[in-house]
Amino acid sequence: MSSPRFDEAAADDAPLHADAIHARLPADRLLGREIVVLDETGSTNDEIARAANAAAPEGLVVFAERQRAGRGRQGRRWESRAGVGLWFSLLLRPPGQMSGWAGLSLWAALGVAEAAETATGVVAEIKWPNDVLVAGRKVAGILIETHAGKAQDGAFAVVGIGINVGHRPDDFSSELRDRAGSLAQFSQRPVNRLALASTVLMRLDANYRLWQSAPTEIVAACSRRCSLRGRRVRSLLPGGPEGVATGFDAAGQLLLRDDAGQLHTLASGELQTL
Amino acid sequence: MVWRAVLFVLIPNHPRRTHLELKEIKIIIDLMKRNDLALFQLEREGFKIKLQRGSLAAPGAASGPLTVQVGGAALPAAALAAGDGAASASSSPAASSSAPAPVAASETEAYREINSPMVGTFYQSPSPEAGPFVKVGQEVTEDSVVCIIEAMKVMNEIKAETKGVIAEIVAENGKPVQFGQVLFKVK
Repeated sequence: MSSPRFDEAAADDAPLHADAIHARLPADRLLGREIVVLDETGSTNDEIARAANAAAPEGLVVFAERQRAGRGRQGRRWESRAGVGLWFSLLLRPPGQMSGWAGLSLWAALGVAEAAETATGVVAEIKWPNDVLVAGRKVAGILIETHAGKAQDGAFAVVGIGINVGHRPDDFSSELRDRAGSLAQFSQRPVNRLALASTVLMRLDANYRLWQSAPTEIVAACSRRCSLRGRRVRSLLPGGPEGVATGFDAAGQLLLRDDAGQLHTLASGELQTL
Repeated sequence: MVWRAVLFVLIPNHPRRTHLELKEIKIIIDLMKRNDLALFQLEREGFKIKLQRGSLAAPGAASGPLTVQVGGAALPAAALAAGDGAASASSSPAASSSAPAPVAASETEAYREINSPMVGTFYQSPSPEAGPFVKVGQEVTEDSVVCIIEAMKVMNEIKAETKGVIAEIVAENGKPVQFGQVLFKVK
């Protein structure tokens, strides 16, 4: 595919172009075989779900410069202004049953953390199961939604990723300012959105193959980046345990040791760091 | 949709024995781990044990019924049918908790159940402000989305996979559910 050359030093808010991302990806990729960049949409997850229901193949990626209704878990609003971040979603049709897809959370967080380090030089941690932190602040959020789909195409997963790239502290609302951050805030060099977009797709693609062949390697790589290890956390589920996070089990579930010494395995729910 | 692997183990025992030694439970758990099995259920007159664990990461995990015989003939499949609730044990308080007491046989005949295909948190609606996917009395078809189950922040849309009217919402909004747990009753 022919594509124009894009200068590395281009202004960070230069618009993304699908051709420019394509040109940087390896030919044998699965994820990012088809890339669409929209100026604006409601939510990139909804775009992918619509395409998937119309039989779109695995690996489709939709970026949007701006989302009118970007969302996180449980319908929480996700700020996604034009030019300051990467807002995109991927279509996956993983093998096996939906009940085995929970590991996608760690896979997605790992790809973003690795790409953030490669492209910007920051040190990225993973807050179980899928927040990416730099210097203790959340720089990326992930929303994965699975759908049973139509019989002929089968079930699919929509992986929505939002990465804060160029935000300044006062770009975040006052209640988020202490917890949220952007890569540019912590990087010693200018952050190029095009380079970051292609790097994150490459890492996700390579790790997707690894997740299918050796899922425990993804868990192990995430475990090394676990921001909660040794920290005291509380599960916000009704009657949920409180204790010190000791790491992950082989399935990537969080292990907590309570004050009585009992080990708890967390499979879901919100966590509060104490 | 639900993958289920059932392990039959013949415990060397007296026909009237009504308990398992901790050592024996550990052996069964080891066998489950080694064979990547999610559910073990054994039922005898006056005795019942169910071991269940969440297996979340491996995409290609065991997807069909698997029978392992240890030391003799397998128990008849009929032994696995739901009976009235006796003792129910779990592999560890952390990885799983006791299954809810099974309903009486006469009641199960009148209803079909929508069971949880995974360990996670049950959500009746797409967001706290939104209305529930389904209400009691609502008609559903196989393709109707009835709830979301969150597992490690993956939001899984669960379909009814059966046709009828929602008779009861058994699971509680925002609370953890176990593999195989009844979420809804449909008639």
